[in-house]
Formats: sequence, C-alpha cells, structure tokens
Amino acid sequence: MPLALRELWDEMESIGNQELRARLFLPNGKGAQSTELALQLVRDAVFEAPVNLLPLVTYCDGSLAAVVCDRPIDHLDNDALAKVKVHEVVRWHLGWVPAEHQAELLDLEASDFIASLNDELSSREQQREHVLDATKEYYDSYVVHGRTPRADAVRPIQLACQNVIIGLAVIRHDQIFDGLRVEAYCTCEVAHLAAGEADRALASILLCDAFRSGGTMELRFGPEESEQDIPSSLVRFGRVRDVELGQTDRCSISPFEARELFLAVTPLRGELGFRAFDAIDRGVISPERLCFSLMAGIWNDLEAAFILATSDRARSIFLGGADLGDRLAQSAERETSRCALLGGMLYDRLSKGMAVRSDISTIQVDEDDGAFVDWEISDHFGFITFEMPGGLEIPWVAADNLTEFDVEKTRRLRIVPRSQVIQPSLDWLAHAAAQDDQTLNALVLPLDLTAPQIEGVVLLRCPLSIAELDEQVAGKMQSLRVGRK
Amino acid sequence: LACAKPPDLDRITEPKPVADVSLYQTDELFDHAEFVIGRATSGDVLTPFMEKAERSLKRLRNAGLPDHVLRQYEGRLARLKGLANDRFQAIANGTENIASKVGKRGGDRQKTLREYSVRAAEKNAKTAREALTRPGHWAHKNFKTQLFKTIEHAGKIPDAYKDSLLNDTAMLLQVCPEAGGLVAAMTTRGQPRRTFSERLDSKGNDAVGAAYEIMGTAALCSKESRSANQRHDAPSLRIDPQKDRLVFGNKAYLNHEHKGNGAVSERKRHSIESDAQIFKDGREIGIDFKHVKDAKTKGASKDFRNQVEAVAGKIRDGELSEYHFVTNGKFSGPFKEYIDTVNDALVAAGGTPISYHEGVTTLSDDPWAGERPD
Repeated sequence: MPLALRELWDEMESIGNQELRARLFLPNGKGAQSTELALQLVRDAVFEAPVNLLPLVTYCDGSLAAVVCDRPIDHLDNDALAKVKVHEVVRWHLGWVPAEHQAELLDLEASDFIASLNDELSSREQQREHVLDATKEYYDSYVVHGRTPRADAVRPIQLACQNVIIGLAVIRHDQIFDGLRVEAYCTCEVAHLAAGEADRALASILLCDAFRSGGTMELRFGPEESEQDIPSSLVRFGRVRDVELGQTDRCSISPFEARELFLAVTPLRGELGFRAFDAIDRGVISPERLCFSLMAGIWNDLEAAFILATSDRARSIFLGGADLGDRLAQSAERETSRCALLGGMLYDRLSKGMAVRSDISTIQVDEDDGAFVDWEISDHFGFITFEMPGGLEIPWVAADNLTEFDVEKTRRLRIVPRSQVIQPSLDWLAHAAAQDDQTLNALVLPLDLTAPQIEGVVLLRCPLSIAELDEQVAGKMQSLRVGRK
Repeated sequence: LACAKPPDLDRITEPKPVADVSLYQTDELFDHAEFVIGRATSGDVLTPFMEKAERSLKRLRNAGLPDHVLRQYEGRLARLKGLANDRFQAIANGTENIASKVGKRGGDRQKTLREYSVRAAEKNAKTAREALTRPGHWAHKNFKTQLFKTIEHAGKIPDAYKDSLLNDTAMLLQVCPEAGGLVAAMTTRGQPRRTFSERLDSKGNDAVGAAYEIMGTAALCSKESRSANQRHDAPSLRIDPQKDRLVFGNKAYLNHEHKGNGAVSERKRHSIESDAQIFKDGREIGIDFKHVKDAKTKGASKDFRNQVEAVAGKIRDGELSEYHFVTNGKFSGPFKEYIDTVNDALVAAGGTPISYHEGVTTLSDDPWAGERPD
C-alpha cells in the first residue's frame, strides 16, 4: 500500500537529528529547506527532473533524494497534495552525469529511506571516532614496528576515491563465532560516484577479508561487548539489490546472507555472469570463492570466464591448482591459465588503449581514454572474439605483420591464445581466416614461441615468456590457496 | 587491506555538512550551458539553458548571498548570454557548423549545406520567434538589433514600422522558417545564396521597402485581401500558415534562360520577379510587394511594364497560376490602367487576371499609406 505524501511529511517533521533536519525539504521549510526551492532546483538541473519527482532530502553535495509520486507535482497546493501517494526513492543529480546514472534507485520505500538515513547520520560521528582511535592504536602497534597484523588483530580500513574518504571501518577476525567482527563502519555518498558505491566497495573489502580469514563468512557489527545493528546504509544497499540482511539477527550478516551480498557487490557483467552462475549452479565453484578471486584481482573478468568456459579443471584452478604430484592435471591447468592470462592481458591493453610497440619503452595510461571492448569466448575452440571501435591499435603486433591488416577497419578481432603451438589450432585458424574476411584472426603466443606464417592470420606476441607467465600463474594459484580450502 | 597510513589527522579535512546545493546546481548548470552553447547546432537548444541560468541566478539573489559572490555569478551569466548570442549568430550564418562538418567528413559541402540549412532554419525559427516577441528573452536585444541592422542596411525605417516589424517577422518565420536568411543560411537546391542584407544591398531597395515585404507577408497571413481590380474578377489573396508553402527571400526569376553550356543566364529586362512565392494546392502564386515610398521613378515604370507583360506571358504559358501586386497604400491610376489593359488580353486568352491589392498592412495607421506615384 503506497504511503500518502502527507504521512511521509509528518514522519519527516518528527525527526530529531539536527544534521538530517538541516538537509530535509519540507513544505513549511524556510529558505534552502523548502520543498518549493528543491522543486525549482530539480526542474532547473542540467537534466530536468520528471514532473512526478518530489525532492525529500539533500543526498550529497550534488544530488537530491526524491520520491516518485503517483501524479505530477505541479504546485504545492494542499488539496492536490492530499491525494498524492509516494513510491520509490531515487537520486537526482543537479549537475551533468551520464544518463544511465540519473535516477538511481536509493530505496524501495520513502519512510524506510528516511529512517535509515536518520540512523546512519546519528551513528556516523561515533563510528568515525572509533575508527580514529583504532587507527592510532594500529599505528603504534604495527606501523611503527613494521609488523604485519594477524587476522584477529584490530585493523582500520580507509576507503577513498579521488581524494575523498568515502568509507571507514574497523575489522578483526573473531574466533568466538569464527567470522569477521566489524567494530565500526561508516560510509558517505559523493556526487562523483554511483549511489551506494561506497557501501558496495567497503562491503566487498569486508567480505574478501572474511573469506581470506577462512571463517564462516559471518559478519557481526559493533564491539564484542556492545554489539550494534547492521549499518543502515548497508541494509539499504542490500534492500535495493534484493538482498535482505539481518533476517535472523539484526547485528549479524549470516553466512548465507554474506554469500548473497558478495554476489551483489561483485560485478558479473555479460558473458561472465552467464558462465559464473552456470558454474555456481553446477557446483563447480562456490559464489564466495569466485567473487573473492574477481574482487581481489586474482583473475580478471575475461580470465575467469575463459577458465570457466574452456576447462574441465576450473574447480581445481579456482581452488589453487592440483596437487604437485598430479603432473598431468597440473600441466593442463597451467596451459589453461597461461591462455587465460594471455587473453586477459591483451584485453587489458586493448581496452586501455595500450598498444605498445617495441620501440616504445614506457606508456602513459589515462583511465578516461579507455575504449569499450566487448568480448566473447568460444568454449569449444578456445578462442576469444573482441568487438571494438574502429581505429583501435592492436598491441603486440610483430613488426613483420604490420602491413597485413588495416587498423582503421578492424572492428572485430578473433584471437587464439596458446602457450603451445599445435597443428589443430593452426589448421583451425587458417580455416577461419579463409572463411571470414570481416574479422582479423590472430594467434597469440608467449615471447619465446614461434609459429609458421599462416595466410590471413596475424601473430601477436606477448612480451612475457612462458616462464614469466608461469610465475604469474603460480602467484595467482598461491593467492587462492591461502585461507580456506 | 589494512590501512597503513600514519594517523596524521592534520592531513585529513574534517567532515562537513553537505554544501548548499543551490550553488552547486548553479555552478554545474553554468558549466554545462557553456558546453552546450559551444556545440549547439540550433537556437532552440540554447533557450532552455539560458532560462534555467536566469532562474538560478534569481534564486541565488533571493538566498541572500554576499554581493561579491553574486557579482561573480552575474558576470558568468553575462558571459553565457554573450556566448549564446554569438553562437546563435554563427548558426544563422551557417558558416561555422558547415565548415566544421565539411572539415570532419572531408566531403560534400553542397550536401552538408542543403541538409544543414533546412533543418537548422526550422529549429532556429522557433527561437527567433520567441526572441522577437518576448522582450525578456535572452536573445531579444541582440536579435532585434540584428534585424534592424539588416533591414536598415540601406536607410532608416520609421519607428512605427519598427514596432510592428518584430511581430511581423515572428509571423513570417512561423510560415517560412528559412525566410530569406533571417535565421539561417539561405540555400536553393543546396547552393548557397546571399543573405537578406546582401540582397537588399544589391537590389537597390530602400530599407522600408524591405520592411514592407515582411509586413505585407505577415498581413496576408493574418487576413484575406480582396483584389482592388475594378474591370476584372481577379482572385483574392491569403497565405494559410497551416497549408501553404511560402518561399520568401529567394527571388524567383521565372524567365531565366538556359545557356548552351547548361548555365543559367543572368536576369534580363524581361525578367519577372516575386518577393514571395506561395505554393497553394499545387499552384504557384507570385507576389510583388510595392511600398508607396519605394518609388523608383523613370526606370521603374518601364521595368514595371516589362514585368507585367512577362507575368501575363507566364500565366498564359501555365508557369504561374496567379500573380499579385500588393501595396500598403493605393496604386496610381496609370498603374491600375496598365494592369487592366494587360488583363483584357489575358482574360481573353483564358488566363487568370493579375491582381492588385491596396491597404495591405499590419499597422492600423500606416504613416505612409498614400498613393503610389507610379
């Protein structure tokens, strides 16, 4: 049953927190706190707000939280407003943002949103002080002595983006319940980040730590002697993503909820999502292990998808690799991992515009200059197809191949990453090149491998040798072996 | 994952309450407006941003900000207005965007001109109409100045005409967005043509004659004019803004001849010309506006006789359906007599008689509505 706007305003009127009160827009508010002014602001924003959006509160320095009403709010007339019902709360940016980030969902119910914002702001200062105290202790105990803390030591976390601190937390592994104790937690919203991004990022750090510590993945909040509710902003974040937190215990995110939350905070876009959920459903990999390997940067999106798509030993690879005695299995896993790494490295360079030629020793990468490169993996033949904008330079092109293709026209690149040159791959490439003249076909090899020239196929040579690739693969396997098994 | 930074609190700015969003909104809007104005390809893109910017500044004034802050925003708004006016002018001239498009694509300048001009004219006409009729509009002052500068290129026009001219031009732009290069570069079949002011300059018109072309067209849009022909049943004239297609500005020289090499010959003595052309239900109608003060004594009379005979010829040949002479005052006796004489022969040959219309003006009291000394 949608809430009436009048009831919502009554609830807002009763709020005692002064910081929140100063940010609320009310019909009887004065000056900068009047609903009338807020309506003018969203109507005169760079993107004019729809007529059924009514601003409730200043969400951050550059955006307002506005409630979706069931009818246009033309003027603040008492009779007309008496009938208005309210629905979800969305964020309306006053400045320019990409269109897809305008009107992001903040909460499903307006009254829940106001209540959670009230809780969040009321506890923020206390949480922040706790973090500062913990930071001082941590500095004295570990930083000064150059010691590495154990998992059960109290550790402060500071999360910043573009020089703005957006999240603070204090964590430790608590052996009493074999999970992560989050003694303090606070986040804030800033205009240059998507809604809930601070909570998403901080939650992913907490969950990665919980996974790495090898516990049950349960998260409990507040100091041991005075436990606190799950932070309101995190609950709100989960609510928007259909993950209900604290169902059985208001102070705890249960292991089941933690897994759901881990999936919610991990971007699984496009083909990776399909491959990941397929593998999870088949029991090949647990959600938390996959999310950890992605969020901790052990495997990137393409590498993880390649392994899941092309290898029967994906489970073992994500567990950290086969036992040393099983040489056949190890060899197969290493070959898959090297190929995934070759593909992932090439994708990184393509999407970041890092076309390194042999005559350039250093390059500068600007994040904003990246190009959108889509990829698709063939699980049967083990090749990767990149769809990209024209004019993108292809990295790793061997000097004698430079005239073989037209960079401007290359919008589709099909690569076959291999760390062994075997005849079936070469035959398949020759066949593919003869069949499709709209796609640039390429064989990607490590630095120390050579292959016979195939007509219509470009040789891309990764700057790493097989031994260097193996070193990187071993590092990744090692990271996945740490902690739980 | 742990934070290893020393707890140097001095290096961290203390959290502060959220800032005044009104200032943020104004800043962002001004920044974005500048970005949009710099890339606008039609006038109607500019208007919403200019209106928003003015409202934002008004809100800041009401918020009681310190004077020095307000002055800063007032300066930014003034700069925005200047940018918008410059951009609008550039769009009207059509040069800037055409040049950039051609440069980018490296291609067909004529095609770009043709596509650009028609679309831009349709979009700009709306902005130009608003600018002309709303004194508070961001471009009102500038556009009014430009219009009078264009019209008064060859002399002064009376104040009474000036007052009416703004609304008349707005009316004209409603019917004919590409009117004579007033708001966009003028093209014919993709070929660039001279602007309104250039045409005035070369034609030898005086300013008030040009103003009357606009005024007369606007008057015909708002009401029907019955012909003043006494001897023949000549057709009346009205421009229907919803149905008729009006061509204004591009002179129609109907008897241009093609040379052997495919080029079109220059205008000759026997040319006829229309100040405006209407395409009504598939018929082509020509209009020649004659302002009473727009007298060209000796030569004009001979030209006039040639023109009337040429018009009659075109009507007989079926190239023209109707032709109308329109004035704000009254035509002289010899003028009417000559048209009647030509009409006698024209009607006998089965043609539609040439019409003449008197007192066609949007002014209730035209100071120059006397008799045309022709």
